[in-house]
Amino acid sequence: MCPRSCRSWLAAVIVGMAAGLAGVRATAAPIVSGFERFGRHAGETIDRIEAGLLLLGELGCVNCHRADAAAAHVSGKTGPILDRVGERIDPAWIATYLRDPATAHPGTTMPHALASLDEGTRAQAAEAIAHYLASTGEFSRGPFPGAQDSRPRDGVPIYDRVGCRACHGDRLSSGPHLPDQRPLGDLSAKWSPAALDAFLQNPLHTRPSSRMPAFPLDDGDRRHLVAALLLPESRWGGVAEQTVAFEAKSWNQTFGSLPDFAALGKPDRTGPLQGFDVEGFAGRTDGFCVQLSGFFHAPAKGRYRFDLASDDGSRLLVGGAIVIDNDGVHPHSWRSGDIEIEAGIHRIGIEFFEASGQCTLELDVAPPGDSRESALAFITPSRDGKPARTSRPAPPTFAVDARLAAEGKKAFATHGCANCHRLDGAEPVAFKVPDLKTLGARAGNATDAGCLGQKPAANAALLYGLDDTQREAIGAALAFLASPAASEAPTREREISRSLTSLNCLACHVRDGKGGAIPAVAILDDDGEPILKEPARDALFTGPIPEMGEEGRLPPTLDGVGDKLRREFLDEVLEKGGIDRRATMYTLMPKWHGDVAKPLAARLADDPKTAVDIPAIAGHAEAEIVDKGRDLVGSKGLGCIKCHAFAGDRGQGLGAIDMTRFPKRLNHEWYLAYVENPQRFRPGTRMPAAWPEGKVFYPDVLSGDAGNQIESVWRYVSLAKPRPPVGLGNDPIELVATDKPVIYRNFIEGAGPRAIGIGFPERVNIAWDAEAFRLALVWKGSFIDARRHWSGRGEGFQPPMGDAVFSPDAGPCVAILPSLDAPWPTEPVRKRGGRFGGYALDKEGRPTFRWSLPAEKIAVRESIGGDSVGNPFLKRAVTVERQPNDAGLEGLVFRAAVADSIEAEADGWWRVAGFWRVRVLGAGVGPATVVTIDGKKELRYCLKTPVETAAEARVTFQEELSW
Amino acid sequence: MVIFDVRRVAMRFSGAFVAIALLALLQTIIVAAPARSAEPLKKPTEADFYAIEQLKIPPDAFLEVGALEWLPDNKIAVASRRGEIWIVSDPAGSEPTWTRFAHGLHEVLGLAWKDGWLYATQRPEVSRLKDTDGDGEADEIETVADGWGVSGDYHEYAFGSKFDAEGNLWIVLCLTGSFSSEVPFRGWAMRVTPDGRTIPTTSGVRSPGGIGFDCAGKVLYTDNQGPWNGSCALKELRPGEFVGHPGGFKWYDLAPEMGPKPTEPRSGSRWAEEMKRIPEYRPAVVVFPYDLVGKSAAGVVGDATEGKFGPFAGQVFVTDQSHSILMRCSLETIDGIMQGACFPFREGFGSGSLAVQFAPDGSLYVGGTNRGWGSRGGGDYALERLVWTGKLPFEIRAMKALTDGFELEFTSPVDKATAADVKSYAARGFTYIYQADYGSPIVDEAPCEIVKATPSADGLKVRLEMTNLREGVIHELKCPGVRSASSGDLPAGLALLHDTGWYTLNRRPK
Repeated sequence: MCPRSCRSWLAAVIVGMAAGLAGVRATAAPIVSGFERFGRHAGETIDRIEAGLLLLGELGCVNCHRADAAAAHVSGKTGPILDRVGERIDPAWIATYLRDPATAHPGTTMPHALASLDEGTRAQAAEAIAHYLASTGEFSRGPFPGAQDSRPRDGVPIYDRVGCRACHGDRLSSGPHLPDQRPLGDLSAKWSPAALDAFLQNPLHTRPSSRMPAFPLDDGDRRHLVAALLLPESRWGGVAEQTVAFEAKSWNQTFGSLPDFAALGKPDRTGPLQGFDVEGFAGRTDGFCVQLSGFFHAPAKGRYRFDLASDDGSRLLVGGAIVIDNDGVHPHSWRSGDIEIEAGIHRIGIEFFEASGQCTLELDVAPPGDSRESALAFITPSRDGKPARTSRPAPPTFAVDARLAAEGKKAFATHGCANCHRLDGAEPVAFKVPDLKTLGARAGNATDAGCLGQKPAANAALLYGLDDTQREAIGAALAFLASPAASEAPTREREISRSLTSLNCLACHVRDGKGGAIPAVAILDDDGEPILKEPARDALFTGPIPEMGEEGRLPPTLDGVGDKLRREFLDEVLEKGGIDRRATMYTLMPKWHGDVAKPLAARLADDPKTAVDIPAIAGHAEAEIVDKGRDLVGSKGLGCIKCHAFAGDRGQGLGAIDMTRFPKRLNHEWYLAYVENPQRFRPGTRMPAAWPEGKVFYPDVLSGDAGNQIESVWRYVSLAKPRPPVGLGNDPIELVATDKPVIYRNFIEGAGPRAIGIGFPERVNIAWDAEAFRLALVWKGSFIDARRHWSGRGEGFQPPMGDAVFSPDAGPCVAILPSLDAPWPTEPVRKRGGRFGGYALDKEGRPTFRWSLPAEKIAVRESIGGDSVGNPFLKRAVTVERQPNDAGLEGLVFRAAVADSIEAEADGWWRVAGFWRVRVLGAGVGPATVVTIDGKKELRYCLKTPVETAAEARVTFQEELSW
Repeated sequence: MVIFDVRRVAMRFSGAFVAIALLALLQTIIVAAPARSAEPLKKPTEADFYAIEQLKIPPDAFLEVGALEWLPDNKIAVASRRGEIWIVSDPAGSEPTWTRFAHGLHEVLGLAWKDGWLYATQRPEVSRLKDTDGDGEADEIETVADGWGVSGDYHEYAFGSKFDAEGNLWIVLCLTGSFSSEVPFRGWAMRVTPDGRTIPTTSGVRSPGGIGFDCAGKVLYTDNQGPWNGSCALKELRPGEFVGHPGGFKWYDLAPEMGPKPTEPRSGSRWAEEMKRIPEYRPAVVVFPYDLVGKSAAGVVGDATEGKFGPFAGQVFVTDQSHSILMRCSLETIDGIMQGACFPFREGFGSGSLAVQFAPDGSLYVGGTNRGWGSRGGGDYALERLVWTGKLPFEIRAMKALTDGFELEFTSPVDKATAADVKSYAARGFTYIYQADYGSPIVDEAPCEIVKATPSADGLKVRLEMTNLREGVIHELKCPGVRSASSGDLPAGLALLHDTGWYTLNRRPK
């Protein structure tokens, strides 16, 4: 056994190549993915011929050289349709591209059509053709619809996940690429956002050859993708994140909402802030607040949209005006706001506070008519700074010169551009060139001449810039086409292989041991053992549910796909794209033009079929059969819905393929055989054998026959509207306190992961936070819905079910302070050594929570209960003890409320935040005092000591809440 | 006597005529022989030896069983994932009484009884509960230990053990989302000491399904297939060690008593290789080959019934949630490293088997749930009692490693002719990749040739000499040809009730 470390797989590839495999692609040579991956290193003759045939098709050779007898072996790929190309592609880029295609777009398969011209003439012809193409429509560099909602940062994962990366490699041409991945080139020079957006909606419209298939992205995702592809990295990505854009001040104080920063006094730290790393700046993760100030450089006059996200609260000010208020304790959440400003420099400020837990802060801006990006690029800490993002260059203007356009039209025709590119009004040229068979029959088979040559030839219209390996492969293919073997029709399997290679289906899928992440050329690890998956390819495939394993990330194998999938579904999935795996896999199945999809589907459909007898289920009525099928699918049966979605409902499932899609997708016989033994078809699948070796777990169902039961599930899911299986619908599980309180310890929103919820019979409810020792939430009416946590796996936090929710207690309710108006301790109580002691229940089931601060020798008990006196009413009896009693209760303060407003009412009541009321009663309680700290009012009481001995000092008092 | 088996013997002869003649002859003999029993002849099933009795759960208890503990006075405590603890008096009697002892707890996956307190391991803490006023319901819910983080991720389960000999509770903490460790000590085993300290004890935990002890008091837990776990396994926990998943390594900073962080394992390796590189790394005691025997290993319990539960005293039983089965392990220690074999034992539990607990009467209580993770047993939940019927099953009792093969120990003497025939056995070795990716296919598979099979004089053991024994490999042994000798109630000619065992060979004896 050897460890199969993959650290040096790349080195191994390089060593492997150097060790005598064929050479490396010349940098200017065209990249035909299938050739680079499967053909370049082909050793055997047949593979080299196939590689050459692939090139003859992919390079469009047959568009000038008639194929005739060779037609069965060479695909007829055409170039993009150029109708109204002037609207889509920047004419300036067209001119550059035509002057030297391989430089402007490395790896392009378009030959250099002007190669044989001298430099001056060539530039002139390129310019003229650009004018001709520009005359087909008006190019606009303006924004695309929804620009302000598109966010480059959100587009990158889409590019990386859905499949773009499998064919194109890294989004940036400078990033990592496998040899068969064709870089995108400088898209921002070529496309306008609107044009790229329109193109990506349906690339097949202009590229029916489907080498670029169409991904079923929704509008939002597609626009994020466009933004990611067109904005240079420096304007929004990594660099900007590190930018120093703000001067910052931080205060180490804990708040439950944004304080009045003007009243905070001397900050604990001041200085420049890197990116939005407020935690790093404050030097702590909890209990602080930050004020950021900087200068926003508006490139133009207009309405700017800002998006501010934070955990916890934040606020954005531009020119002194509040643009976004995102205050309060909350998880990472976005808020938007916009403001009309002049071009130039404006003051910008962010106020932020972090109470506890996660800490985040982000600000994006979308300038007028532009896409959204990080605001860091527009902001400097001082007025005279230079922002990372300068104003966008003025859109280039291109005036079509009619004379040049006419000249270009001629050049377009002369150079045979229309042989590959359809364009209204342009006619293909019948070059006087031999057909492919004739070329192959020529003695010597000179593949370094003509368009295949190394330099422009007078007798050739084009130059492909091929390298030697490509030439040799084409030579082998031409010789094959001239041989008698070429008259034999290719086998079905070979035709399939050719389609999968030319369409690059194998970038994602495996068939017959080729494709996916399987190395095409053996790669050895450190110990000389072959590596089974190329890590760089394997990493292309990811999914949202890691527990699904490889089935939740690797596109399915195409081995036996025609056995598995119905003919109609093969057509559908190829021509419409796939959506069935969306919930469990990031890679999307794109759609292909019918002209290429239909023949491929037809051939795949001829895969040998699994033969199984379809059980008749004799002796059982159809109604019983589908009912039993439903029982088996449900959670009281085999629980198929624990993983599978059903009729669009993920239910308890992971979202694995929707069972009601089975009859539309699958061949009936294949289904029967697969379910009987999934491992036979898909080794390692997580789909369990529910009838292992025909064994039946429900012997009373349908004569106890495995085949009958499997068939019953099929018939059930085949119903037009199957009744949902048991366990799919999740009814609310409302917990109701009848005579005694009901307790619910779980993840409660607003009270943390260690929350203890209690619903009292008086229809008042609390959630006590055992992480921070506080009465985190109080509400009235219904207590809580336990469905989230009591069905399925129980993900996430559950909010209160009732209403009038408020948070009376921002931290432990008592503290020892140097003075009554001193700031409340902000350090999280567990970091101060605080211990939660659990709770006791009295005869009526009401809780007494216990917690202590051993370092401060304080022990606290909080007894809480509802009461029914008209309004919702809650009582909290608090006992504070000091053990041993070395300092009495000197300095002990109870805090009853923290809010923007606290107003006195009659009978000792205080009205808090305008809607709830509190009063505190007890012999040991001093007078109520409202202090203002950090802009917030706090209602505080000094605690005195009615019981005091050498052993302990103790005070008990009662708090009443009404609302 | 079983006609089926007679036929199999007969078919060994080449000519059909001979076979038919012999069959006729044998049938004549059987008919002529005095009948051993008047019952119709049938192939024994698991149920003949171990009966599953369902406990009737009251309708108001939605009892997704997460933990079980036997209490004094013939009572069992049953904790549910919905946070309730029920106490059942006289659970095996005809009229058991059910009392709800506590509710509102957070996913209880551990119960242990000591000094009048019931200790419950909840997701965020270990609490101890007591009914001080005698109304049957706990009124003290005291926090004993909560020294680990809870981020709000549902996968952050905490499984608690019973008390060990020193009075410690052992807690295994699942990783965040079962993949990473976002808050302290996710992916660790902790000890809660009698004086209330919580000590980080062993790193490398991934997604546990249960924790318990063998009869010698070794701490064992189950971990499940996923990253760094090619298949599910039974693992041993020892202070200061690392059991496979490096996800929680960052918390070494908070656990000075653990010493420095171990070397990171290499993804794509094999566990036997990594044992050489990482001194702290302790490999699995038993790997349960995925889907061959179970696919979600869960509760662990040692059989200390001294025979009340049948012929497997001292062995370890493990539940499997997904297959709704109970598996059996025979363990041994070679070179200080525990290893051993697993065997199928009993299938057909009513839900996803999770918690297990022996009762003083020697029966085994099995509690189940299939919420969130499907199981072959279709009930939302189940509480069952597995009772030995007193009949001796013909089983491989134990499988022990030898320098050149394995020694099999049987529950009843073997028929020496079939047991000495190497063709009665088939063996192969395979293992799993030790990798950061989820799970692993079976790899490094190679056949083992049985060179010689030598039954002991008393027929209770067979020494198998075989080729290609490899460390770090699971050795699958099938014994389809071995037959019983007549002994006690057990007739001759029976096939084994379960003829396959899988031995995880960490160390080959010298």
